[in-house]
Amino acid sequence: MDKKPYVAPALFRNGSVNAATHGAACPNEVLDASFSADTPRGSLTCSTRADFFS
Amino acid sequence: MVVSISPYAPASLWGRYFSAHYLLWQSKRDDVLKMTNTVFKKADGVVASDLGEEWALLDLESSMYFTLNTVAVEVWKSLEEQPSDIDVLVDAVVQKFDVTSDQCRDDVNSLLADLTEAGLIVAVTDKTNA
Repeated sequence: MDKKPYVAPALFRNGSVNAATHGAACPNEVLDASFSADTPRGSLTCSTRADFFS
Repeated sequence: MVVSISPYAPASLWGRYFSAHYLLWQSKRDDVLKMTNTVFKKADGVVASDLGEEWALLDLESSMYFTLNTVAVEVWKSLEEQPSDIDVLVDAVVQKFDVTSDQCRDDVNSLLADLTEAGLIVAVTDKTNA
């Protein structure tokens, strides 16, 4: 059996899953405005969609 | 022994203080790995997901998530099968990858230290407790 090329085993720390999915639990909310690239996720603001209650 | 240091101590003293603590932490970490009868097992509350070449690990208690590269995945698979010592884990890597056990032993040791530090595995010094 051919062996696969070796690389040093590594563990990557990706951070908190809560932070990574921040905002995903509010599907009925929309962003308030256009945010530029590199806007920190925590700085995004949301509103409830106007047509959500109609 | 608890050593306290004044917050007004000169920077050089603080430097020595942190260096000493780092060396102490490092020696403890190395001591765990040098125990010949150390067996490692997967920590409770850690779930893994196959992403293809890489795997993702999620610590359900801390909500921290991690990824393992392809070689680290082989180590993790072995640990999922049963608690294992360093020799078993090195063998698992050598069987799948183009490397000798001498070449990869230090790398596997380092990975085990990282996994232990992250709380994803626990070191059990007595095999009967594994």
